[in-house]
Amino acid sequence: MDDLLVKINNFKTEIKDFVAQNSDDAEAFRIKYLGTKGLVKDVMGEMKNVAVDKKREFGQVMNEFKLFAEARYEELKAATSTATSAAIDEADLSLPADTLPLGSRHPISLVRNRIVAIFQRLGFAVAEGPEIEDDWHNFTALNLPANHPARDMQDTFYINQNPDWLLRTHTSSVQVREMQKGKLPIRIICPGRVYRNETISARAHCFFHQVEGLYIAENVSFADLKQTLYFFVQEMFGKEVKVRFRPSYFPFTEPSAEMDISCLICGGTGCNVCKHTGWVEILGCGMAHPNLLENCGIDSNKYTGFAFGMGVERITMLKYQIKDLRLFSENDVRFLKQFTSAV
Amino acid sequence: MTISYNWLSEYLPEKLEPEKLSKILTSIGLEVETLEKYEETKGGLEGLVIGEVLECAKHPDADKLCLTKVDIGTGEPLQIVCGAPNVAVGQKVVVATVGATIYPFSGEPMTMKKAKIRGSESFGMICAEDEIGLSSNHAGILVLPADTKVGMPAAAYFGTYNDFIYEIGLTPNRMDAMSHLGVAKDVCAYLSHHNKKETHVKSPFKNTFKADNQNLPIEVTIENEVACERYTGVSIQGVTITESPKWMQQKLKSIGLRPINNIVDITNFILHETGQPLHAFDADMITGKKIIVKNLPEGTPFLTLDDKERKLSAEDLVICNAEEGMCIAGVYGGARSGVTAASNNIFLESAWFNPISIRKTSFRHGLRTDAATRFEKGVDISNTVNVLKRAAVMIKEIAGGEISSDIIDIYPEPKKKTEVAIKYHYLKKLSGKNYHGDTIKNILTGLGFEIIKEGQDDLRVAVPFSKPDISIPADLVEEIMRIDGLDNVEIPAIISIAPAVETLMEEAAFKEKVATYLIGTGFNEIFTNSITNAAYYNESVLETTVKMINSLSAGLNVLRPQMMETGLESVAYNLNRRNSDLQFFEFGKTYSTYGVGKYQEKQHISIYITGKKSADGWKAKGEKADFYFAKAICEKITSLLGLAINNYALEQNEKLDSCVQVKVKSEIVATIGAVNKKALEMFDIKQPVFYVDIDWDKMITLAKTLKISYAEISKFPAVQRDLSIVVDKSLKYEQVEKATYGAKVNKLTAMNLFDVFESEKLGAGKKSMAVSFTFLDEEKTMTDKDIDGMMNKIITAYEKELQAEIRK
Ligand SMILES: [Zn+2]
Repeated sequence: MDDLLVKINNFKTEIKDFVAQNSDDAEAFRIKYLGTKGLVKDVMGEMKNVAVDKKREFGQVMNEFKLFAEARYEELKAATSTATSAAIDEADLSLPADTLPLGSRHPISLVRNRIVAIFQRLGFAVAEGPEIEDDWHNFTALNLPANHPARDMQDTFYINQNPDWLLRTHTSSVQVREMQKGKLPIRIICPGRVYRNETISARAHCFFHQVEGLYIAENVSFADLKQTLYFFVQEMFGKEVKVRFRPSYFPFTEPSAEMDISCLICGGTGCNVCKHTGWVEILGCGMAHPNLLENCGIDSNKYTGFAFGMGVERITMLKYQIKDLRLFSENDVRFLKQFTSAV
Repeated sequence: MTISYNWLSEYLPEKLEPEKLSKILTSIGLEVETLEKYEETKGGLEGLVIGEVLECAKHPDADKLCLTKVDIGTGEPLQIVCGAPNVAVGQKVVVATVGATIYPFSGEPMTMKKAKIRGSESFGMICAEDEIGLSSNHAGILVLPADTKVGMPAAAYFGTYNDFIYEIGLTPNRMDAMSHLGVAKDVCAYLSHHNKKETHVKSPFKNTFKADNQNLPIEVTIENEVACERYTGVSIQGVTITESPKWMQQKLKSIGLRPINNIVDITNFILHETGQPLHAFDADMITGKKIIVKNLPEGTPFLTLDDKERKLSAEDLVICNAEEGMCIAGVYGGARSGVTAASNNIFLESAWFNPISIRKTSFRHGLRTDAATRFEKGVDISNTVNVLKRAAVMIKEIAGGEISSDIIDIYPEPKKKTEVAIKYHYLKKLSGKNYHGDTIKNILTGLGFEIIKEGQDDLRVAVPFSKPDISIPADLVEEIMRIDGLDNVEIPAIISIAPAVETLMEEAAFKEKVATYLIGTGFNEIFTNSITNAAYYNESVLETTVKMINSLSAGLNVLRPQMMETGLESVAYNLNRRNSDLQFFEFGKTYSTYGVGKYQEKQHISIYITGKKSADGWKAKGEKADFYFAKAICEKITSLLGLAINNYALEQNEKLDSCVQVKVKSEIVATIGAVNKKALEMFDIKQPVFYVDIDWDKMITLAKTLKISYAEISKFPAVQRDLSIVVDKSLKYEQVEKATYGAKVNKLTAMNLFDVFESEKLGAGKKSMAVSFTFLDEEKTMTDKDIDGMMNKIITAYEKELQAEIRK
């Protein structure tokens, strides 16, 4: 039995002096001592030869030997491991974080995307079209024949006369193009850039962005229009927002209306933003004018439809209380960075 | 359009509060943009009272000031310091008490405070006329008659005129509401419907017209019956031109019109009461006592009211006397024929001119007068006589004289009213609301429609002449809906739609992905004006550039043919504000033309990089962005779209140094470069700017053709080997790449350049490049021997093709 004790002590010295250069050596150690055919197991095997009255004592010795080998293996493994944990100098964790840059989306993109997403939820599909348009698609088809006084409402950039080519003054031209395709029903939204020949100021710019919508099917009513737009403003501005529809005029809709929402700033009690009316205008809308439908080859006896249009800049200005349109195209980083966290 | 509350109320049978009326107006489509209190004298003289000067002594410490005691009827006289030389005991004066705000004739308003002037307390101010806005008179304090009652509010003494003014955003289809009476009619239609009680306007038209004599007959002939469908006139002799009465001046002033004289004021008053423009001629200037409505030969000179000589077009309609033109019909008067202070006899015109003809003439001469804008929208042709009679009676009452002719009314072809039929089920289909037949009838008759025929499910009505814009059933739907109120259309609870299939989903998703990546990398998205300055581009670019022919601003005259310049404007804008580290991207379009009707719009992403990639930190200084950073961004975007760049081609570029074109499948998808000095100077930029222009249309087309299918991940590990070579300094990395791939080592999956340097040791004209290679065999674990074999192939190729020396 003493033989065994000597043997164990020798192994212990061997184990203690074992040198591992790398993880392969550590692994070799494990196989040699702790493996299924390892020495520890061998030594344990001797137990059967130990006298019964010594079994308890030897059991303890052997167990201690096994733990000793295992502990040494953990040591070797840790020492040779190539895995590195972060060595943090814990002296001052309040030092600033690394200067990772972070950019921002332009507020017009954010609001445009939000508007589009809301209408997509209602089954509208996006349609796009050219910014350079002919007179017919931008005016005539939309029930705005030559010399119509309402053409004054939209100061137009012309790029050619006779035939007239111009920069679209609204994305309604895209609706016309979709209607001409003759596939009904139509349920589209048309986001895009539009142009007006205006002197640039805080309130007016020569380019801006619109999202217009059109739904044409059988039996579409003004009540349906109200429902769609009410859904839109609730998603856009919150469930508490109140709406008001009032009669208005657009050549391509009849009846026409404008939708106001309760002022986001004062909640309806009156302030400078709402000119003390408690309401702010948000979009124009109406039922597709029979002339518009017929101009685009749609039977106005069978089909009815609604259309609406809004200015992305206007909604952005309301949402973020921006008072000068020029900020959108000046691209001052001090402006842009304010939208880093906007969604 | 400006509407006075007081004036409007005169035509309404019941009194409505200004706010209530405002709500009604907006709900029926006459949007009240602003509702403001109007005070003829600003501030309404509030807080100003009549006082009596009880004492007046020299100020102990100031020669030019007086110390007064003024009784304002409160029992306790006020001590007031006064600087006016004319102040004296016993005077009745206007006192601005402490707390009152005074509105001077010119200058800012001022609120009275208890003051100490040269050591003496002063409780208010004794006012001069100009100090309280009554006039520009500053000749000392205002002294009132001795019998003026002390303590009387100044407002009561001077009788200030107050009103509320509606600014109405009138839509172009509502010519019927371009007057106080027209608005009143609409309000009455609303009241009739909502109060369920027939309500009519208090009509100003009384049947009191009577010609006093026939001493001044004028013969009227219409030669152009298309441009003038009705011409009505009357002459009045012996008028006295003077100021108009106070009540009329107050009304005109309240809506922003300057009183001129009684005749002009009456025509203006009638215009804003009824919407019918009138023109008053000096009857003595009507040579031959003849009026001929006709066109004059092209180029006929005509001296207008503003003393300018204008050349008439053959299409301009002119009101002529026997010899010459007197007035551009419906647009602008002549210099010689109008009413002046010396006029004695007048001829008053009330006519109907063709809207299109008026519009053309008005624009042709740049004369956008009030009369023209009304005629071009269409005035009520049936009303010319009524209006003229009212005006004539009013002139006689106010300016004296005698009506010296009957009403002359030339109306060659009396117009028939337009008839429109509306089916009730159409009304329901379009509105989504079920209106009762009686409701429909009542609303329409309340608005002046005449019921022609009634059926089970339909109604035929004649449209009043005041509403020329109404011609189809949908127009009637609008009339009914707006009077009933759009807010009274119930919003359905259930939505039923025909949904559309989205076809642009993928492209939009790619855009979002790229945007999200760029933002995460530190880029700010910008939006720039696609209208820009032709001066940015050279002759050959301008050949295909889209140019505007009527731009209001000289610097904004073309659609951008290239993205770079408008973005550089934004870069410069920020650099000028001391923000020098910028990373911008824009999704935008460029435009070009290849002839009339042939226009091309292309989508781009443009990227601008200048200054540091990130800010200085305590561990490391921020690194300056360079060409290779721009190149990396371009590569990553390409990768996000699933595309592999197969070539960078050096390119001469007018505006970029170090310019390369990026090719995918031999198509140019992007351009990268450093903006050159000349281009930077154009924007006064003094630091390097790197620019990437991505052809989004092309990228997206290529990306769409790609399908992603999962490839089994190799069970065997990849092996990496490094190699250092010494080559000629001029050797390009792409040659190394070419040689590597030329060696045709098929287990080579990637190579990466990780070091480049030159040193004396290497020798002049030499450089060292260190490359790492990744090998992978899908079938088995590679042995050292396998790898050595492949490395040798590469080494051989390097030695042969690059004359490279292998560093051990
Ligand atoms: Zn408000």
